[in-house]
Amino acid sequence: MSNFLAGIQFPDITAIIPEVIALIIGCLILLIDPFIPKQKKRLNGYIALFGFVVLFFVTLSYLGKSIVTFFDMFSVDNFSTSMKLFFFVANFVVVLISLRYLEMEDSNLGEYYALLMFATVGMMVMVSSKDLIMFYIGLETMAIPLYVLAGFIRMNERSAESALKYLLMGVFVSGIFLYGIALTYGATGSTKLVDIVRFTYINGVNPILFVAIILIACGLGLEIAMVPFHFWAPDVYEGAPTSVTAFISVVPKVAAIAALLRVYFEGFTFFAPYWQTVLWLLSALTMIIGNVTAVVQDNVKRMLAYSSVAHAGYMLMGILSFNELGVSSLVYYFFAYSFMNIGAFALVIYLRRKNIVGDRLEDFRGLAQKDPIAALVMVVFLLSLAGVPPTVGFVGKFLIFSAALKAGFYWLLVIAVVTSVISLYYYFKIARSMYLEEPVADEPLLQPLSVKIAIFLLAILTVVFGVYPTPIMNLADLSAKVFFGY
Amino acid sequence: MSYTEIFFYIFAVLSILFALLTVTRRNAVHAAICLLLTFFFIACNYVLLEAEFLAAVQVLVYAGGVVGLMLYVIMLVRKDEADEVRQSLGQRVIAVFIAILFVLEIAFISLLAYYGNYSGFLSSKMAQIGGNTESIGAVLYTYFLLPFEVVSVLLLAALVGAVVLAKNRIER
Amino acid sequence: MIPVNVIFLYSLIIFCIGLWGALSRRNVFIVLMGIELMLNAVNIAFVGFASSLGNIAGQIIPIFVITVAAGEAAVGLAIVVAIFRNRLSINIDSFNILKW
Repeated sequence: MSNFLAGIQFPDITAIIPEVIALIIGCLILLIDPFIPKQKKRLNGYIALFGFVVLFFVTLSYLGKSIVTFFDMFSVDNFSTSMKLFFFVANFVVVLISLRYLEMEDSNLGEYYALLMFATVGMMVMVSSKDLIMFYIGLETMAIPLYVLAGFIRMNERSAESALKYLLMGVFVSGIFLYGIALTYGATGSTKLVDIVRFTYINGVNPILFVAIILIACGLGLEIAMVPFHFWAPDVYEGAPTSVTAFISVVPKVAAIAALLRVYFEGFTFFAPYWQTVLWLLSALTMIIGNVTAVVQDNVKRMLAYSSVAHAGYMLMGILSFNELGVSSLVYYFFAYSFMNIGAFALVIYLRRKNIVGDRLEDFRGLAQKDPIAALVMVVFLLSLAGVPPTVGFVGKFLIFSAALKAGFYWLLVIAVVTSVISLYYYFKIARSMYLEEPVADEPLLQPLSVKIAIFLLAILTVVFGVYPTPIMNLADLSAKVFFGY
Repeated sequence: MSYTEIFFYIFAVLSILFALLTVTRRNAVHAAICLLLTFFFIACNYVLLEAEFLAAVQVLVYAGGVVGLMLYVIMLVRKDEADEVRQSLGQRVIAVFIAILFVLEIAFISLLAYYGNYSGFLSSKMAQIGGNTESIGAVLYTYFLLPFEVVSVLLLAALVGAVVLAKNRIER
Repeated sequence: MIPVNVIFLYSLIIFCIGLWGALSRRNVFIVLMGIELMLNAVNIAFVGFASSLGNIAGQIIPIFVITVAAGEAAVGLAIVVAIFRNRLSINIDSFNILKW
């Protein structure tokens, strides 16, 4: 026994300080929630906002550091740090749009923010892990709060139903993911990415790992919402509370893509031509099915769901390019996608008023006359989602497409460009409804302040980083160096 | 053929049988009982595969906890309607996709040329420690420390989530 | 010594049974049971590999899997209870507000 412990180093605990802080804030919210009177439940949200600001600056100090600890399971590098920074920015905005929305839905419980924190811990673990089991546990730590959040409005039948659908799909797919891990373990004797690479370097390519690669892509594919695991997305997006939809459609998706990138780049490096082919197929199908199905939707949340499926296809292009530009463009695209997509869902929340969810196309009718600024901001988000300059969406798409061009995926590029043109049509449908149709007389808009702040913040970010992308590009370049810096 | 092998095959056949019964019963309570037996026979096989600690965990957590919880909710809900209704499109596509994957996988297994001739870094360490529970404890709290800690976050989230969802909504 | 291929085949069979149950049945409880069977099959595979590789990691990973499965089952059943409060039937097909 003493022999066994003699060779073991104590892990470097400084590496997990951001995770621990996030966990403490989550527990703090749970602890003080019972003592907050019912009218002041917003305080929970303010704690969460403050927590994300603190976490942002704490994590910022990790930029440039490179620590691999916990027996090669956990790594702090520029990629994981910039991903964590991304989570905090996106979650800050999500909390901002949730504050008023939860009150409107009469579900203003402190547990909402606590679960958001726990999900964030799961995602932070996921982007930092270098071990397949850590990926699995991070994925599940992220997913279980998401199932609960999707069913958070218990008064609403659709909310609970979408939660059940999400859970059944999620647990089912995680079983498949685990089988992939088991195969990898059986073939290589370890679940660590370092050992997998070492094994394939020494022993050559083992056919079992081909299956494992596909199963791992399937397991992460649910959160990414890529074809053929996208069926849950429209239903869950429609049924879940809109603020949760904004969260699910952006942050877990990005976390899963980042995890997939790390598994493939660091673990299955020698299988690159193989998984590039697999992802080529999945990416093409995802772009085509996402964009074509979005055309026929008349519910804005469902339309945005299919649009987010399509965007997952574009993001997969960044992985399969397997070059430095691919990673840096992907990181840029994450930020761009979060600004524009959360912004579009924030507009849906903005339209939420008595008895109106704000997710039907009719709810947007004549918005330009009722609230010209909101309509203009929505147009900015839609243009960005479609990839029209001068927005972040354009820069992101341009970078990703050029990465694919550099890697020589010409046909995929053709598909991507054609489907982008198709996407213009359905984004335009919302714009037409806002500008060219007469408003219907109904309940007045509530115009909650916190949502307004969030929307304007996102609109400004969308335009400013579209014109001047350098700050995010610098961060993206730093994180790309993790994989191709030698 | 040694006794270990004979018992392994007996338990394997029994667990497969009860697994089949689990997914074919109409009555959810019967299915839960079959599931319980499946878990039990799988636990027996864990003992034969020299994973005694895992066998105990399997019986305690799965048979004692999960199946008990399921039975409780089934009896709370008590509604067994006929369930032979048409498949939904989404699931069928996934089912076909995965079925193809698994056929491919079985083909790979049968063609397997070489297999697991690299046992990782832990095996050499393991030789120094005796006893299944002791070695699991030693490795769990050293090499698997971080997953162990993160799983506790997961359990906390599941606990809070289950309470939030199932709490009586009238009290709000 | 049981050959690893036999153990693997055994786990594959249980996995496919679970998969079949999860995909073909409409009763929420039996779908959940099918998924639990799938996770058990994964555990069998891990234990089999552990005994053939002489590597204890394969006996520790199932502990995590069992923990996660228990958490998932708890949340899933809580959601079922939440739905049950709204209506009295629990077959997936009776959920027709959302389209599949």
